[in-house]
Amino acid sequence: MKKACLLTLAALLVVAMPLAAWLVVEVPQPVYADDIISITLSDPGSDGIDFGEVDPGSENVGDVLQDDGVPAVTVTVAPETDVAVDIGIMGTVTSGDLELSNWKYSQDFEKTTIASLTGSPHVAVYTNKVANDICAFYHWITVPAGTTAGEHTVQVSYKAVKTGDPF
Amino acid sequence: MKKLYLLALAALLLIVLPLPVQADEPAKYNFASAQGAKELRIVPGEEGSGYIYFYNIDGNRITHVSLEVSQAPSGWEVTIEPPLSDTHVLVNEMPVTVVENLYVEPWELYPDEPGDVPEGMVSIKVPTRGYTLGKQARILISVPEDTPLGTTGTMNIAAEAFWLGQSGSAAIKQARDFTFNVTAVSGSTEYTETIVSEGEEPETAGTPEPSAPVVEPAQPTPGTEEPEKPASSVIESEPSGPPLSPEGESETGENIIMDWLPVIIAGVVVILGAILIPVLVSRRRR
Repeated sequence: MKKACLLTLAALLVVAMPLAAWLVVEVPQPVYADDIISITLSDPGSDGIDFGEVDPGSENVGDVLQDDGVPAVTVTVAPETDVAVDIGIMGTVTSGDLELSNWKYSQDFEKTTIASLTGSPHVAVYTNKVANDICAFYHWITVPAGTTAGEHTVQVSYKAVKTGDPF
Repeated sequence: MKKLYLLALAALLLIVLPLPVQADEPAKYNFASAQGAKELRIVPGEEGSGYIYFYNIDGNRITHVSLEVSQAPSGWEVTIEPPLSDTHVLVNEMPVTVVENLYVEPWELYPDEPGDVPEGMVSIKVPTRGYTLGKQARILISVPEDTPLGTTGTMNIAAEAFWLGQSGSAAIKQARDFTFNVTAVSGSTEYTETIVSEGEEPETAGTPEPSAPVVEPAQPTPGTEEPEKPASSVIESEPSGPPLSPEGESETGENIIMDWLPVIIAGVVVILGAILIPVLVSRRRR
């Protein structure tokens, strides 16, 4: 009887210990995250915004690849985005002496909403956008007469903030 | 013979044509982020961490991310891991050096949680879509030792995402801010509440009176961040793990019991087996 008890105990220990060890192995604990924001900027080409060569004295020349219904930049809010967002824009001159006010954008091809880029902070263009929403940006440039020939470039920054938060 | 040549030419064209099409594919610049706990509790004199996660499932270009501390309370030390550093990149075989904290390559979506996560990456659950792999930035915050308990501070991390290879006159990029609210809390795990009035001896109260001023609120698991609510995104394979003490060990009694529960169950099974099986065996023999 004693032998049976000891054998059973030993057998159970052999079975139970690995089971306990397996159960004690640390399972990675999930870390919770929220405020998921995923924004994709689509460019009909792959050059960013491109105006090509523009003659001085030209007004509101559009991106070479944009067309009616084809914005220079399309901003898409991805389906997993779990907050409403406002989309803002700002510009920074990176080369040349063309003032920022000559770099413009609009929400439509007809330029009814045309406005000049401004420096920091971003200016809200679209508000309360949610998952799967699409926002169009058409870009334009004005090169005043007398502008020196050469390279003139800017950086255009798009910013998504939770609706209601300041830019 | 001519037919053969024509067929071979057609086959070659079929193979070669899609290649330039892929190269000229319209650019999609994706900047996707998720933020870990935003409310952090840190013991003065110690360090706590916040996390921001980045992934890239809708883009077809590598997203380069630079991060900067744009707001922090005076005297509080905030550092970002990985730090800003030079990354050497070949763009159309031209060497370019970029200054960034991290970069996120376009990655596929998985229907199930990926079992194998390469070093330096994290598995991210993308609500309604599945799982992907991305990268994390850790925001390390040190609260000065002399900070009064209950003090709150707001940290802001400004992120900028940019993409290489844009040769047009206006390069496009994205910006985003991440805010962390930090509260300085007591390092003690025991709940004590002391009412101090002028001209009177300090007296210890067991339970707070509704009108009593709260001098030292109890804080759970100080020294680290805590999930603030059930979330829509789960990032796994995450080094921070569950709420930990500053030393990295679970502190609460409840956690200790939970840690040892399987061992306790196994012990009970062994003891019960040792008693019941011989009893059953001896009954059978009778």
